[in-house]
Parts: sequence; C-alpha cells; structure tokens
Amino acid sequence: MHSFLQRGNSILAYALSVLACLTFICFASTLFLNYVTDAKMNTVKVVVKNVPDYSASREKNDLGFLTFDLQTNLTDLFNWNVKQLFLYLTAEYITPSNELNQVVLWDKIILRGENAVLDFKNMNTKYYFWDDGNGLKANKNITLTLSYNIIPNAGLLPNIFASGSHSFKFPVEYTTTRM
Amino acid sequence: MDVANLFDDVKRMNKRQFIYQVLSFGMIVSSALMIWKGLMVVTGSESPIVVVLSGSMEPAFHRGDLLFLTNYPEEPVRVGEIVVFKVEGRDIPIVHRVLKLHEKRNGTVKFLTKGDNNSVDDRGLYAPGQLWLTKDDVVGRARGFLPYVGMVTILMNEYPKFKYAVLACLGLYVLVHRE
Amino acid sequence: MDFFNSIPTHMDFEGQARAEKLSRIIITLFGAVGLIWGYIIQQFSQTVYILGAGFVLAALLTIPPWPLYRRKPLSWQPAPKVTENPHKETAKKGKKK
Repeated sequence: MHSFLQRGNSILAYALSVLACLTFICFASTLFLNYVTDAKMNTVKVVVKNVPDYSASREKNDLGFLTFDLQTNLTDLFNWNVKQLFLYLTAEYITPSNELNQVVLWDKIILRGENAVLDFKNMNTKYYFWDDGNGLKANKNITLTLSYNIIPNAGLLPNIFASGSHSFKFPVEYTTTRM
Repeated sequence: MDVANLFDDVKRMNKRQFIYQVLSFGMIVSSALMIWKGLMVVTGSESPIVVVLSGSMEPAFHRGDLLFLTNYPEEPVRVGEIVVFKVEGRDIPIVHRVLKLHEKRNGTVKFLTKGDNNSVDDRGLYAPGQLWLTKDDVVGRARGFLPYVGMVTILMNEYPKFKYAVLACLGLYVLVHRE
Repeated sequence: MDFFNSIPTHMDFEGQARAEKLSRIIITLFGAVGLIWGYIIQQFSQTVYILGAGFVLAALLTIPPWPLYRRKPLSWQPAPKVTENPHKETAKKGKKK
C-alpha cells in the first residue's frame, strides 16, 4: 500500500474478487430452481410431399409441411440469472431407417424484458421439415415438443422440455399440388 | 513497482534464493498444465474451456465469453444443444446449435448445426461435400457459461506483441519478486 | 520517471493502514448492498453497477495520498548535512521499503 500503483492494484484486485464472489452467489441462488412450465400446442394443417432435396443429397426425400398453434407463458422463468431463452419446437419420430429423428421446426429468442407470453395461431414453420429418406408419409406418430435453452448471466446452460406435447400423423398420400 | 527496486531485489538474492524462485516459477507453469490436463480427463473433452470468437451465437454468446464443455461418450447429442465442433480445413472450432439429428439403429448419429444469429444452416461452413456432422467432429457440448472473462485471450490473440509483453512481465515478476 | 517522482505519492504508515481498511469496507459494503438490491429487483446488472460505483468511490478516496493519510509522518533522524528542503528528503526515504 506504499505507492500509488500498489494501492490501485490492491483495490482493483479486491473489487474483482468481490465481483467473482457475487457472481457465484447469483449462480448458486438459481442452481436448483425448477424451470419447467406448461405449453399447449396443436397442429392445424399437415401435408407431405416427395421432392428432391437440393440442399443435401439431391435425392427425393419426404418434405412435411405443417402449421401449428402454440400457447405458453414463460414470464416466470426469468430471474436475475437468466439473460435469454432460446425456444425451439422439435418434431421427434421414428422411421424404418432411423431409430430417432429430431428436427427443429421453429425457434425463437426471447431476451429478458421482452414479451414472454406467446399465443400463436396457425404459424408456419421456420425451417423445412426434411426427413432423411422417405419416412414421413403415413408416419403415425410424430411428437411435437417445446423446449428451451436457458442462457444465464453466468452458470449452467440447461435444455428443458416444457410439459405438454402433441402427437399427430402424416397423411397416407403425397400432395402433388402447389400450396 | 519501481524498476530500480526490481533489480535491487535480484542483486540481494543469493544463489539458493534464485534457484528457489526458478523452482516456484516452474511450479506455477506445471500446476497450470496439470489443471488443464486434469480437466481434459474429467470432462472427456480435448478442450474443456473455449472462448467464443465469433458473433454467430449472439445474443446468447458474445465474443470473449467463456464456455465450459463436456464430452461424455455415453451422453447422446440431442437437438437444441450447443456443440463445439471442428471442420476439416478450419483451425478454429465452431460453437453452434444442433438443428436436425438422425440416429441409426446401430447408434451412428448425424446432425446439422446452425448459429442462432445466422439465417442459414451450417452446410456452407462444413468441408466441401460434407452434409452432416458426426460424433467424431465434436469437441464438446457447452455446459457452463461465464461472460467477458475470455476477452483477455482475444486481446492477446489479436495483438501478439501485447501477449509477449504480458507473458514477459509476468515471468519476470515471478522470477525476480521476493516474498 | 522524474515526473512521476515529483508527485507526492507517499502516505505515512498509519495512513496506509487506514486507506486499505477504508477501501475494503467501501467495496464490501457496496457489494453487499448491490447484492441485496439486485436480488430484490432480480437484475444482476444492477449489482454489478453498484459494485462498480463502490470501486470508483474507493479509488477516489484511498488511492490519492490525501492529507488525511499524511498526518503522522515518521520523525527521521536529522540528516548529517543540512538540506534546503527537508520535507522532500523524508518523502524519498520513505519510498524505500
């Protein structure tokens, strides 16, 4: 503490260790919270086509089209250690060739302070629903789930499934008309 | 810290003290290495801590944020997770989110990633002709997040002179400073 | 270097102890208040800003050698030769540990 620089150095070091300590308290205070909420979803229109996937193999693959309703309230998830929610709607299904297929159809970033009460009607998907092959036609069990990845100020990055899912089936015939 | 003072300290040292200083310097370096290698074993990832170098995951991760990774083989990759992967022909690992995933019955997994802040998926970033990532490409899955701390490394990488100056100062300080 | 040496940076020993204690108290206090306030309004950024304010205040109050910290200078033995500026001499001597 005898010189100008040493005093500055010691104050800065002390302030930084206090900051690290506060951050840890913030992290620890939110570590065991339960982040699961309800979500209601429903599909409105479901069709399937068989067209070449030029972004991948160029072979004819099944391409599903659907519109969906989604209702959820995520306001309670935001606490002092949540910076952002990354919300995504996943379609999960089984095909003869693959034991597990997961395709994200839609996602949304909700920053802290933004509106977190969602009520969508007849929404289009954000990404194409390409199957890896021809497993969508007449597929009887496609499950839609809503999940969110919590981005904290500092801490863990959990991926959480909202409770509530929706299962639907694809039609047995390909749609050939343009939509 | 006075420059003259520094060399006073050196002059006052005898041989034994000097060797002691060198040993303690070696101790610091080797314990840092041990911690890093130990983390590699515990997390199963070849690089357990990474610094985010691009803005492609904004607003979740900004340049200079720190990510803690794990890569346990028994833990399956799932959609919505943030993976860090290496692409042939690129030195820097990429931090992006899994968008689509197909798992075969024999356990082989292929998946497609996308950055939250990018408008298209990552097929354009992969090696030419590569359509999917597999488990072998993955360096780790993001599990923990700490903001800003990696800024120092970014500064050091962008200004190599700064890096050498800092390293030289630290080394000199440890070697020369007497407790 | 001459320029920096001409600025009085010296505190007496008791002043150094007081400065250190004061800075610790200020930063800890601001940190604690920030934590509580941040928790109440559920904004961690506020906690960080309050701690930052505490750091600035502590820096202003304890880094410069205010007269407060220079009240009890050591009484040095008189130098063998009489110098024109005894005060400067004590300051220089004090700088060596």
